Amino acid sequence: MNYKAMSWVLTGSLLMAMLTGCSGGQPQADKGKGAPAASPAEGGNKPQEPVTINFWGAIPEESGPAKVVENWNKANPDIKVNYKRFVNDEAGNTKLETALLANGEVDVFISYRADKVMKRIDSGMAEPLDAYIQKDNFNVEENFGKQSIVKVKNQTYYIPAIILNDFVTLNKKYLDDAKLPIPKDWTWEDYKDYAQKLSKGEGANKIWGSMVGNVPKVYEWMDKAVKMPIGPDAFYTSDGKSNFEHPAFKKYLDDQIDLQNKLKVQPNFAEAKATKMDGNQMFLSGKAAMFWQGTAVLRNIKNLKDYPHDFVTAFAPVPKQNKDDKYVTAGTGYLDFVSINSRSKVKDAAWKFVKWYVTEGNEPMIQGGRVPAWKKADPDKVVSLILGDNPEKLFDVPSFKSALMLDKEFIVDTKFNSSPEIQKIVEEEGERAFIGEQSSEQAVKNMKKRADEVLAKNK
Amino acid sequence: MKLKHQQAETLSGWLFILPSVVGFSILTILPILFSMVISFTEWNFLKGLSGFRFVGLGNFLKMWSDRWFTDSLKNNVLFTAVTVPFTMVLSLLTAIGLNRGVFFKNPIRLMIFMPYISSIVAISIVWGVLYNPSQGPINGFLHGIGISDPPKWLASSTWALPSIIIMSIWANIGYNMIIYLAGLQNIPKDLYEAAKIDGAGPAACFFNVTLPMLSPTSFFVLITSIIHSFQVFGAVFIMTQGGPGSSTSVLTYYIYQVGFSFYDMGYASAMAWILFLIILSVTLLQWQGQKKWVNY
Amino acid sequence: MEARVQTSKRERIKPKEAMSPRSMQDFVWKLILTVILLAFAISMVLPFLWMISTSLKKPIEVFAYPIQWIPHTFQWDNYKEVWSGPRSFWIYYWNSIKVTGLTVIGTVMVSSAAAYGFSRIRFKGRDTVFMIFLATMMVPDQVTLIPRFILFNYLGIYNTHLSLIIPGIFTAFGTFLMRQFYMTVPNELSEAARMEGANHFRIWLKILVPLSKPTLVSLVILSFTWNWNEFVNPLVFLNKKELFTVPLGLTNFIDEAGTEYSLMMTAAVSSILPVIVLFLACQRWFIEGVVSSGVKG
Repeated sequence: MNYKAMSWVLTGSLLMAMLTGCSGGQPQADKGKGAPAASPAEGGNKPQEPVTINFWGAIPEESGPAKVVENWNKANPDIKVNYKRFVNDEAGNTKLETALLANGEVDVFISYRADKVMKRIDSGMAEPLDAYIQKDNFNVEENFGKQSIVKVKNQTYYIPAIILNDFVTLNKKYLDDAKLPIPKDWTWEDYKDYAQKLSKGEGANKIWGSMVGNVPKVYEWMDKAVKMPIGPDAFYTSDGKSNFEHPAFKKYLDDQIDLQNKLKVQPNFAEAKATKMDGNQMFLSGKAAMFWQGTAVLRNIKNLKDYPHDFVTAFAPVPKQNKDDKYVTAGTGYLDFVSINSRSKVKDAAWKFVKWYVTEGNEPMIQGGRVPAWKKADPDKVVSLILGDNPEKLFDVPSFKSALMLDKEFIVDTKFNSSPEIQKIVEEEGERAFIGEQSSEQAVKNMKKRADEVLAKNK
Repeated sequence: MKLKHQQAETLSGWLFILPSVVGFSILTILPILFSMVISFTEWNFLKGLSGFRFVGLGNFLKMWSDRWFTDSLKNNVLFTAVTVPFTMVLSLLTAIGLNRGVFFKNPIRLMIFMPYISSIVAISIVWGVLYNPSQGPINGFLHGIGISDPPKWLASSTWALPSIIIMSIWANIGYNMIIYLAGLQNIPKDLYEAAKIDGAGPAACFFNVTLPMLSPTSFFVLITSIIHSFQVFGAVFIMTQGGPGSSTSVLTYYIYQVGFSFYDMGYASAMAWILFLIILSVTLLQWQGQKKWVNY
Repeated sequence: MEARVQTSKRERIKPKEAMSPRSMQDFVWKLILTVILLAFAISMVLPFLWMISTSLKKPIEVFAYPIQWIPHTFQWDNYKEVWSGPRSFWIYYWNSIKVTGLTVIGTVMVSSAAAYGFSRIRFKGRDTVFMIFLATMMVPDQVTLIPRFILFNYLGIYNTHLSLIIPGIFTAFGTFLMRQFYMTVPNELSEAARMEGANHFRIWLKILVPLSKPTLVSLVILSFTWNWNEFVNPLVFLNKKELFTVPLGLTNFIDEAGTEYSLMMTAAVSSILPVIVLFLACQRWFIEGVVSSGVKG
């Protein structure tokens, strides 16, 4: 038996050695630290042989990327860009990540979560961009803002293309009926008050005062809410432990429990999850008066064919936990992190495209609600592109403009230690608190204990 | 002469299985061995083949103090222990019922196969509605028959796993029914006639002809159901994502998370190998046991 | 053949017979059984009915609660959009048919041959090799995904349909299923053929394969179904849109603003039609058993 096991292991390692040897030819991240190597494509000397760049993103082609690629290919016959779409869920990210390892499949890719982009950088999947930036005298700070990039080992590995907005949308008709003003600066106490006043009816005809997120999740919204009192890296203390002892976490759970279970003005977490209740649909069909979702809702508001509705949507910032909270932007911040695959063979051409895309190139994405991170984009034009042809009929324009927070400073996280594990812990303990199986106090205690264990183990 | 014959038999035996053996060795067994080697390392697959760090038995030791692993393992065992017998009995009865003595055979057969081919999203939404604690028809019925405090089903740590188990049994009947229907077709009709001539009633026919003649099929259904139910994934992934808490977490789901969102493929592989050993030992037990009840 | 005609005649005559107490009792039993199974069966089409109903709705109506089984207005345009819109489904359909068809044909041939070797011929090492085959089913796919990706990439079949077809052909499941049936076929049959000088190949092809039709058909249905619905493998192994299969096409309707369930269900309803057609085409094999008096225990 022992002999058999041994021989299995040996065969396995041999095979592995063989495989390793065979794929050794792949260009590695550390080669030359991103010094722009001369590539045959450079200078456009050979227009008859265009370089092909595979550009991976998660936005459906018809919501902007097709137009982006069309514009580029028209203007740059020497560099042909192919857009490949992945779905930004677990499986879709796995698809992207395996493709990144294969030769020639991905040259430019966009990451949609900060913890994911950091992991990819750590693993050597992204090419450092500093050499290219220097060579072109491309001033990142001036173009995107001081905090736009979290450097890793003092290197730049991505450039954010957009600002994702976080706001609460409100049904203006219901607000008017209840004689409530559009909130500008409010706390969760005000929010609960609004939600109560906006709730109506019972059973199948019930209009809910509040909906949080398109699908029920704990971590995602807690993360945004606790940013307001705590600021960046809210989940960690300075000595490398988890921060769940901060009262903001318990307060978030308590506010949610009030809304769902005590006041019953927001669908119960477990029931919404089991019936796959869809926040967009609830809000746009008038079954929910307030909906906390942000950017993603914008496209559907304009889509009267699929979501016919006759009310105006107003916008409010995410509520604060305390009147004097330092921060106001909640989850609004940089996203669509554009990187070059370290294994790409056409990095110079890829950079040329990236530089164009993160500045003027992503204009066709704006109508889908994606506000460019590029500071030189004209804000009025951005607003008018987002709101479409018929803004007054669908949007309360002034409140929308202020919800964009273009003049505010965003909260930028830099720590992501064991983040996927912590997310799982928060999801589990939070859900049990929401369905009444443990108190919010017990929940944060468990979060603290379990997260600290994970952090200690993964150190 | 005898020896030569045996050699010829061995040769033709290998010729028959050769395509499979070659295909399996390259496409299935190689990757499996690879994952075995990985299980002794710490490996983030994003780093490609250069990122291995050998950790010996570390992965195999740490899982026993990992609550996610132990909870998932418990859930797996419970899930398999309940779904396998129920699915087997119900699908056998359904197949027999359909094979004889029912009106509308053809449509019913197709209908029972439908869950197996329907979108899992649709299935989970319909069951989500059925299970709805306050407004769902199941609890409506339970209220109706006088149960004042019916389970909260998916919204409860106690009842979420049973909810998924019930749904899985329901969804898998059609699949096993297909296999049983084929098995029933393979029973020679003369056996029934012979039994009838001997004066056997329907019950005696069932126990003395149908069941023994179906035993190779049942053995197949048993083994594959055990394997599949230990690897249950889709239902959990779509319906509860392991919640509430970790009450419906199962190993394949956790393995997937560890490999692809925690990026610890070594640990994921180690857990997969423990799962493998469990399934293998259950299968070997059955394999030994088959002599007692399987008629070839 | 003869046996079949007889059975069907018998069945047709039965209800017409005069209502003797015995057949009356049979009739009542049959009725009761039908009601029970039908109730069961109806619960099992609910998800499919939900799919159809959702496929004809506007997105805004999809989750109205309680479930609205009949759409407010029928959105036949959904079907038009799925089949001829910018995200047209034809190409995925064709790819799925190609991949699934070839895989199923390969599976049936390879499994049946291997099963013959594993059951009808005695040779050294046979059962060990079979156990190893079975054991391959027990390693969760999740951990072999990356190794398979590396291997396929190395073999040059990554990003081609071969990365689905070739591995799909070799299933322990199919071999096991066929083996279980071959084990039950009495030895006398093949011995007789051997006496007449037939070799193993002929015995397999001329005697066992025809006998195993119901089992082969169930293998066809089941392997068609799971290859048709396979999601993770095509997701990871295919990047070119021209190569995508139907389940990948379904993800076109998911984006960060949520899932367009109505269009997705339109596509899903369309996508399971081939499986239903195959099932209907195959199900006569379940009714008309091919096992006749030729095989005796």
